[in-house]
Order: sequence, then C-alpha cells, then structure tokens
Amino acid sequence: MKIAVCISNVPDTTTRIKTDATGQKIDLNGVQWVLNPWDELALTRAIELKEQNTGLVSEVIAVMAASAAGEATLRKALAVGADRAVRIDTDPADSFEAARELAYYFEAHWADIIFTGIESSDFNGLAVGPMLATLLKIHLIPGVSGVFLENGQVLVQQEVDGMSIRLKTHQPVVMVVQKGIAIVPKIPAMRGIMTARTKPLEVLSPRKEALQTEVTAFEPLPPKAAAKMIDAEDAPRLIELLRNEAKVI
Amino acid sequence: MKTFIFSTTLDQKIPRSFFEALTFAGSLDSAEITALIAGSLSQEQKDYLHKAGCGHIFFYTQELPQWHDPMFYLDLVENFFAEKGEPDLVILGASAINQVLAPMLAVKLKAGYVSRVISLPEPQNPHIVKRFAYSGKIISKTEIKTGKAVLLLGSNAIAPVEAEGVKTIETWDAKPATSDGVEILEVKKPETRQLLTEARIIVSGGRGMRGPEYWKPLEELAEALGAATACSRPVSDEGWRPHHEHVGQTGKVVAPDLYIACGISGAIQHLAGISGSRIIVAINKDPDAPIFQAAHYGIVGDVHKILPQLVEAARRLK
Repeated sequence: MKIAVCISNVPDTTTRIKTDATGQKIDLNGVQWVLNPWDELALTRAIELKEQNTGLVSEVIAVMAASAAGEATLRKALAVGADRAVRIDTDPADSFEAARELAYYFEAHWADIIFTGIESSDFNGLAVGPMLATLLKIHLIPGVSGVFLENGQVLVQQEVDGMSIRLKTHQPVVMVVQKGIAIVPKIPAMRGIMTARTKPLEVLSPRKEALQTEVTAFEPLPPKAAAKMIDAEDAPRLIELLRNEAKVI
Repeated sequence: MKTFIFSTTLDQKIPRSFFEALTFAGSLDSAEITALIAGSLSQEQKDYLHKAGCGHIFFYTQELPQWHDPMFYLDLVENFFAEKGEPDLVILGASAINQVLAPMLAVKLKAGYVSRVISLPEPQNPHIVKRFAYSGKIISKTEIKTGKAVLLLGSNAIAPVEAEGVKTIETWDAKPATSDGVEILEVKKPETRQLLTEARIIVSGGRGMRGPEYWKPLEELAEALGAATACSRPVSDEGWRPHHEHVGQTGKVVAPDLYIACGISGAIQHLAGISGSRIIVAINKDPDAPIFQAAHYGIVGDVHKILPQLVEAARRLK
C-alpha cells in the first residue's frame, strides 16, 4: 500500500505579510517557509501508519507543486520520514492549478491513499483535496480526523458538523484531513536529517494550462481602533456596551 | 445569468449561510436564482422561506446519507443540473458540505473557483471577488477568468437581508449515487449541537482559565447569551476541552458577531482563527497580551472574578 501526502510550502505563521511596491504581489523577501501545518499532521500520521504496519505500507511519498523554494520543505518531509519526494516545478496560481498538476502526477503514479490537508495557511482555499478526487474520479472522504489500518482494512474517523462517524473504505481514496489525524507533528531526528540528503527527490515539469483565476491586487485589512478598556471593577458595563453600543447581544 | 444556490438543512432548519448566499445572489443585477435545499425541514421554516426567500426553490426531502458522502451531494446537484440546466454561477454559503461540494462542482462545470468570499461583488460583477489570504492577514482581490464561476462564501461574511418572497417553491426528487465501497461502522450524534461555524456569539477559554474545573462560569455566560463555547489550542491539547472546540490555525476558523476571549493570550495562530469576527472582547490579567491588539473591548483582570459578574449582567438582559 502506497500512501501519498500532498504537501504545501507556506510562510511561517508569524510572518508579517506585506505587498511589494506594485501592490499586486506579496513581498516574499526574508519569508521563512514551513510545511503547511495540516499537511504536517497528515505526514505524521502517514509515517506512523508505515511504522506500525511494516510490510503493509510499502511507501510514503511527499508530493508538492512548488518552485525550487519549496525544496527545503520537501527535504524536511523526507527528514521526518517520507521515503521519497516529488516536486512538480510550478507555483500554482490557485487551488485548481495545484490540484490539476497533482492529478496528472497521480494518474501516472497511482497511490492507494492520498492525504491532503484541509487547507493551506497561505491561500486557505479548502479546495485541493475535493478537486483532486474529482479529477482522478476516485472516492473522497472529507473531515478525516483519524485513519487506522486493521487486518489490511482502511478504517476512517470522520468528524463533520458535530457528528462522529467510523467508516471502512476501499482504495484508492483521497482523504481531506483535519486536526485529530495527529495532534503533535513529528519532528525530524538527527538521523532523519542525515538520511534525507540521500533520499530521492524527483523534479517534474508542470503541464501548465490556462489559468482559471488570478489574484489582481492585495489590500491591507481596514485599520482597527484601539480596544475600549473597561475597568475590572465595572465589568457589567461590558454587557451594556455590547448591547447598546456594539449591538451584538 | 443562471444562478444556483445549494444548502442542506441542519436539525430541520435552513442554516443562516443559505440566506447569506441568497443575499449575495440577490445583489446581482441579472441573477435568475434557482435554489435546491436538501434535507427535512419544519413547516415553520418552510413558511419563513416563502416570505424571506426569492427565485425558484426546490426541496429534496428524501433521507440524506448518515456520513458526509461527497459523491452523494455532487451527484444530487448534477442530477438537478441535468434536468433544470447548468448554471452560469454557483453561490454556496459556508457549510461543511458546501465547502467540499463547491470545489467539486467547479471541476465538473469547468468553472473558476474562489472560496471564502468576504463581501458583495462590485461593481455588480461576480467574476471579481474579495477574500482573505494568509490566514486573515491581508485581503486579496481575485478575478475569475472562466465564463462560469463557483463561489463559496466566508462564514458570516454577508449580512443576510430578507428578499421579496419566492416565485415558486416545489419538491424535487432524484436518486443520487453514493460512494460504493464505503461502509458505515458507527455513527455518533451529539444530543445537542451548536456549530461554531454557525454561531453568532462564541465564548472561548484559554490557558488563563487554569483548568477544566473552572469552566462553569464560562458555560453559564455562553448559556445566558445563547452562545457556543470554544477554546484555544493549549486547552484542547491538554484535554481540558474537546478538540472540536479548538479555534485557531489547525482548528476551526470562526467569524461570529461576537467573540469573547477569556484568559486567551492571543497567539498569532489563535488570531488566524478569529480575525473575521465582528466584535472581539478580551478578558485577560496581562495588559500586554496580544489579544488586546485584536480586541474591540477589553478588561484587564482576573477572569474568575469577572466572569460571574458578566453572567449576572447577561441574565438581567432578558
């Protein structure tokens, strides 16, 4: 069984996001790139599954559509425990471009389980997993907060709208994973970092088709006034202000 | 412009996100609105829809799958399109099902897709929309270059207004396919549920609450305000509260009218999950806590002394 994890390369959450002089692009100078937090949890679980089911899970593959800037993040995925990595050499303009490039890859290199994080912390598009499954015409399970292999069967915990459902699924399948699949991301050990240097990292050319959407400009958030402070001794006044001034209760 | 809206019902109710989508569609000059609502619905809600809705509305009242089977909803809507014609524009309100359905429909319709749209289109052009990017740190303006477009609205991003009433309302039936090879082993349904993503008011607790045994006044405040409860990441990681209450990056992104943060310092990962909130209240003993930078109202002090006072004041409102 092959498990593929789709990885996105994103600016570290603490990065200050500002535009360049044109206002049309984000100024990426000095940005610290990291593995998208949801993908990191997916990767963690994929590696756990391989470790706990030797022989059954043959390979964990990290796949990314990104320019060369994403390579350090892919090496990190290898250091954490992925067996090999694939980079499709394009910076996707939107979720669809990412999904389409990934779909071309998976059509030629099948995986039994494909994990995608529910969103990436840069575009927050929520779309790559559902689009990928639709393009590949394979099953999709969204809202996955747990994956288990028992007697060679794939069991899935789905949590949606307060419901908690346990499923058994055939493969191939795309799973959109959320927190719960793993809680704490796996951190690379020194040995992992050493072996990552020699693990295969394949770079593929993108297909590059017409774009469906394009970001034309960025705008800063509207300015926010300083908080109105209420004395702790006079706390009930908060409720009065929320009713009569903010009109939210 | 043929405009399509879809929603499932939740506990016999039409979610607010449906009316947000209807309001968005209604703001367009040339929208011919057709909506499909799937799931059972109370008579009271049907009557309200008659009055506050618009366009042509269809009900699919057969039972919905017990699990969130995306194949079912995609096939349901594709069946609908096969019968009623493909739309030019699809507008879906923020719900767990729409979040997955929207990008699938975009692929099927070969339509450009933008998620989490935060404001009405201008100038009356649904092909140019605004959304947050980088977890709420900046707003991006996106142009859809395809003829057809699919938009998923951000939660609580559009203030719904009542429309002039529906033109037609009727039931519609189909036999959608489901994902074969997926078997349900167990379903756990909560007795009551107030979804964080639908909640208008959220009362949330952080590490400053000191421990799960101190949560009662927070729950009482939530009850008095008709609010949902939530928490920060350390709280759910410690197991003080369930994971589904975790708001912030890797947890839920919420956008209520009012978010009351009790004993939450306001780490950037937490702010990423609440930046769409209309009013943020911070209660924290540390005056330098970053949450005060994001807040509209703040109280510096001991949350355990302040919460009971707020509970009492909130109860007097009724």
